[in-house]
Amino acid sequence: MSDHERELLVIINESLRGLQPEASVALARMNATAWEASDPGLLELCRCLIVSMLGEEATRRAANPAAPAPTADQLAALGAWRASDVFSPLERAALEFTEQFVVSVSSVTDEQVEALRSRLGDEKTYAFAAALYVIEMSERLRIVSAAVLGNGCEH
Amino acid sequence: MSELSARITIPSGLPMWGGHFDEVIDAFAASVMRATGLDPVITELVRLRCAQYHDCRLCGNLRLGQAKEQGMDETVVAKIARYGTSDLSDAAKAALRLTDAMIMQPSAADEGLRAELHKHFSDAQVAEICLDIVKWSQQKYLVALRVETPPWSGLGTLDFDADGNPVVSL
Repeated sequence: MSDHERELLVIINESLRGLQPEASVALARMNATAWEASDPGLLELCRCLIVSMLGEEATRRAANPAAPAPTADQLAALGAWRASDVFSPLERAALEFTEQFVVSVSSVTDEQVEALRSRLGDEKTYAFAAALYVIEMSERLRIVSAAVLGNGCEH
Repeated sequence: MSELSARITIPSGLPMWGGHFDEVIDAFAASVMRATGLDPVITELVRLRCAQYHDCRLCGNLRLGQAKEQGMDETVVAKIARYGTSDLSDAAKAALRLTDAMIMQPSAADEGLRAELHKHFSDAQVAEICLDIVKWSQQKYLVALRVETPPWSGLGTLDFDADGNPVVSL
């Protein structure tokens, strides 16, 4: 494992790691690759939106400490990002895509993808969407596994 | 649904770009599939719940071979959408509630769900279901980009080789 993968292993629930060690290492590796596949600052901004949509504090930054943090203004405006002027056009496109991705991925529109594709191109749009899957599902897994498995290493 | 067309152009024409990131995602998926602590019918119910909720055309056109061998047919598949009022087993309902908590609202995972799960599953099995749900949600980005059109019509059969890699037969 690389240092980055080992670092990211800590985002996976400790009980889960003990019960399913092989898949947990593969999940950490997938997270490490996700953060390298797209702009980490953009991903961190979207991760903050994801965790706030999942009912947690948007400032929690354990997923990847190396990723550039959103500005304080951006974090404060995240809950009403559409009405804010602190986000660039690319950030707005990414936030809109993320919001729909989290709520109902089948309702993502042609326009939402095109807003990203026109700025990133096909390959980076693909990488961004794939990275978003990894980050979003890892956050969901973190919350749910803590509830149904606990956080300890009693296994 | 079948009229939705791809929103990006992938050079390979496949539902994946084909680079290192895809290889790592596939490696994770294979590691999850190498865990075999669950009844294949439970695995298939969870897989299809994810497919239905995410509206994945590719996954919806597949049926897990091992589950079919255990008697899972389209009558059972039809019960997934309204599983709460179905005659599916209590174990199946618990697994599907865990699935819904993960893919819809994680805050729904609480002590009640934990207790319900542990009536039917060991900790290792609950952990396996959790990881299955992450794996069966891989289609989210394929659906968002609408590159998940199955290259066949009708239902295919999904199996996994000893390394956890998918094998589709038509």
